[in-house]
Amino acid sequence: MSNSPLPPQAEGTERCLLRGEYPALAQLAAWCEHLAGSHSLSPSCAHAVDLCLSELVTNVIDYAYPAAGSASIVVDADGSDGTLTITLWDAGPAFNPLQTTPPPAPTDLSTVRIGGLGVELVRRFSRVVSYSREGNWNRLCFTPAGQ
Amino acid sequence: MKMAVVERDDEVVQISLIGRMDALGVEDIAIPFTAATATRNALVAIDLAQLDFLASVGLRLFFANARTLQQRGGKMALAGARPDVQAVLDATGVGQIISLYPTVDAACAALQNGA
Repeated sequence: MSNSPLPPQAEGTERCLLRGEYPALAQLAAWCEHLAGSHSLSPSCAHAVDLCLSELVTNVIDYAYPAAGSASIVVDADGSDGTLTITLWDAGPAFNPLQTTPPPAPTDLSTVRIGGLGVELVRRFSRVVSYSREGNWNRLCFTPAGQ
Repeated sequence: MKMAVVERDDEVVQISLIGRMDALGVEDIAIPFTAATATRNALVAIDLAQLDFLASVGLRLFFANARTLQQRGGKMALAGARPDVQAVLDATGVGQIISLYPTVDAACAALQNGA
């Protein structure tokens, strides 16, 4: 894990710390399952949390970590106002995944664009998504669909 | 995740995917999946009935191998997706370029009929 301080954790939130490598996805999936139970999420909302975090964290591992080294990935879950909001922090270079162009709808196998599918899924399975840069951290917040 | 390959009597290759198809899962099966699909001219039915979860990395594997299979004169179909997996397939429009069927038998029948 990184030696730099972690981002601030709001009171009442649950936090998960992940290493920037694919085996962390198993830990993330287990944490999502825990959240589904502790927040009594509907099956569709539980799936939305699972999918959005899987896509976003995979992107961070793929693109942030060659530069960021062994820094942490941090996920916070806040259900204190009755709506579950997820915040993903990573210590990679400044990057806003929401600025990627959505892929066009596929019409042909030979021309289908594979890049951008993950972020597109995040947009489809969440209601509100926002990005900000906070010090050395990329911060992405989303409210999963199905609530 | 795991995969199981069956050479059916009707000459369709059935590949059953089992477990969670995220980046970690795809690492487990990418090489054998490619070997089973993209290296020949074949009709391939991907059985999704035991697939718990599908992320975009899995879609990329399907697209890449379906494309190569098509170039060799073969064809891929997906079958039996559970609701969460179906939701991902629907959200990304996969059905526009790789045919989706409710069951493996329906997929195999359609593949043999040249659908």
